[in-house]
Amino acid sequence: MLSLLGSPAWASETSGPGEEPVQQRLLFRVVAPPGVVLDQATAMVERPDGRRIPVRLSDDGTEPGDLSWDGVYVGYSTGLFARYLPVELSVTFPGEARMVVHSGIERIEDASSAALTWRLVDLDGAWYARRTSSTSVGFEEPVNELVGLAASLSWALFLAAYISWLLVRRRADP
Amino acid sequence: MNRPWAQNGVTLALYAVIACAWTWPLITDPTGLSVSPQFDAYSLIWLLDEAPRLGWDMVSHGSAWPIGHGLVRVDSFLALAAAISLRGLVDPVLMASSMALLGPILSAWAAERFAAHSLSVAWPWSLIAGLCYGFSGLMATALLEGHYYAMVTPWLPLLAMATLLATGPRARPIHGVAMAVLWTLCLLTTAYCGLAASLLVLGLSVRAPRRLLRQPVLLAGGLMLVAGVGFTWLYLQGDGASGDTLSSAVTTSRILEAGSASVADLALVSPDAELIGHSISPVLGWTCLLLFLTAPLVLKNRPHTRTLVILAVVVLVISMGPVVEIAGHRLPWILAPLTRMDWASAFRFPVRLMPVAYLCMGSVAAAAASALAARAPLLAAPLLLATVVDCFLGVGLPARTARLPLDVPSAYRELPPQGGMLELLPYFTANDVDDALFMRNLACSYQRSHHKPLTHACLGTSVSDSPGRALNDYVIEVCLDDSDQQRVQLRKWLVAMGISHVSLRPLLFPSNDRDPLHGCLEELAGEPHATSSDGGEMVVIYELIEPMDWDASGDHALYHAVFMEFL
Repeated sequence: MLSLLGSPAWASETSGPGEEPVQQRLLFRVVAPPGVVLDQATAMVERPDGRRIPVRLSDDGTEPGDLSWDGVYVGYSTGLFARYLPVELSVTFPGEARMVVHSGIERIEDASSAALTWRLVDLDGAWYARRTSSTSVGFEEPVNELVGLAASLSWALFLAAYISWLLVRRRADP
Repeated sequence: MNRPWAQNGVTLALYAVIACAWTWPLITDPTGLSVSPQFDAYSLIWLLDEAPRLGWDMVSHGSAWPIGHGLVRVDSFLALAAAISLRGLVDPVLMASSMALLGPILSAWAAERFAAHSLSVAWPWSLIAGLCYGFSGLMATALLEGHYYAMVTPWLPLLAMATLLATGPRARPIHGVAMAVLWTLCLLTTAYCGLAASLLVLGLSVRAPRRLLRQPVLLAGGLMLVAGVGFTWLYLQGDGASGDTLSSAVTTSRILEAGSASVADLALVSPDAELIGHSISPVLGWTCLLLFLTAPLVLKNRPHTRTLVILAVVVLVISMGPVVEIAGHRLPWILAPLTRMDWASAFRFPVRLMPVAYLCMGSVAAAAASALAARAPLLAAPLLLATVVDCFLGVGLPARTARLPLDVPSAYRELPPQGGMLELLPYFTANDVDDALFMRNLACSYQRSHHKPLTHACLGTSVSDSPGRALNDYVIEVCLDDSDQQRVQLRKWLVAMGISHVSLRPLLFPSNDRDPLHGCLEELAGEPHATSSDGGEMVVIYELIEPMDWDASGDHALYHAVFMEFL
């Protein structure tokens, strides 16, 4: 999956002296809307050593942790610790040309591993990818929010019942 | 466990364990790790490193070179004073980490003491007050945003205690003095904490209007007036720019809304909290909230309870800002009139008043738990556990913390301290202000390694209209313009301004611009002086002039004059 496309001249001899480089594993995910199938999805990332690495994102269940054909395209990249990464996401719909749906600098919050997730959005025929929380994969966003809210309200209801019981007991106690 | 020292020992130990787990993995490497996914921890580290070098004029010559950067509008004078008084003896990263680790412990302990002392809440139920206040959603926000100094707020509960004493029947002048000192400490911690403290004092004082004209309160009022006027005077001496914001009703409304607590935020952390805005997550905590709601049923005739309940509700309402959204409907809220006033955009974060709500709710909740547990303590014991669960699951810590090493890229390590450093940063649009601040603050935090003055101003939320930014943009413009004549002139300008090095972080720039920028800088300065890809980013440094020993004071005036001419 990883391939070295080449480094610019100024990017050679760039590792820090006498130090073991920190390896960082990054998970890239693109969530397609229900019913939308992609021929190809690729994240082109640039590591701090100047390497441009195309990460192929697949949905056939071959990548660790990927459920096949669930609309979540997954790929991994491992390399030098990056505090931020230039990322260009491109997708290809069946029978259509490749289109870039996102290009920008992504901040990374973990030196050893992190997940970056985008959701494909159709804006009147123009597709773009929007960064989203990594925890909301696999659900439509409103559903995901409802799951969180339901869990929170369940906890609240449980506590309310318990406190009410304490209250009733207190009143019943002579 | 009835002995006070044992109770205090267990309280502190419990809060310390929770603080370590809450801020995990900070305790594993407090001198080399940041747990904040946002960008203000970097500017705090810069400030703590720079503070010992400040003179009485409060102008930093390590930032906004060669003009200098007045720091009288610094966020926390207390953090600044701590760094100045330690005179560089403590590593700035360790100092910042200590604030994040010790802040919640001290704040929680103070709130626990307030509940125990002022509301007569029995131990261990008083622990609930500390948990609700010291490990609140807003404290988590301060941790994640990197405002570690805002986590050190034991002053607020102690101020509440002093205010109740000063306005109580057995008030003494010392209570008034304590009140003024603690209010000033709040103000020096952050301006928002000072505002919150003012609301607290106001709310607690009005309950006893007849005692307001007695000596302790008058003494407190006089001292607070002096401190407040002094602070305001100092603040007005600073630069006017406080953000890349426009003054219009729409913008003011947008700013206030973004910095307010929404109904959803009070219930649970948004999964996207770290992606949008500033990790704002003022979750109330269900245990604390439900116990607070039972207070009218179980705390009849308990002194101060009614005042604290009203105060909590009032502050909560204010912190919800100008608009409340319920089930998709937007309703104008209490701060809506402010959106028609341009100056109100300066009051960016109404949510930061919420510590008062947490304190009042937490202490009332603790009193309610104590009342519920009066007859059957063991049956009520799970309330303590539930409050701890809320501290973690409710605010989402430590799952939301970052794990970022604070190593400085090796390219910076061997640079001589003489001569200024221009950190080239790309253009940012108004929508990318956070990215711009991240890049600038990160570059500023590296100064603790190379100690070279930077052309960018390292504090403040304005990134588009500073003199350093003008120079930065001019260099990029000339480099991308491909005009040899302009480049020769540019080199003369930079050298005349005393700038000895230019740093480029190529991956921040669009790929089409990188080679022209490198080519231009090589033309100005020759081959790169140092290059590295460790520390999480690629850095290429160019040396414009050989570092020289110069009379800083004499040359500095010349550099300043040249820079002003350039502007």
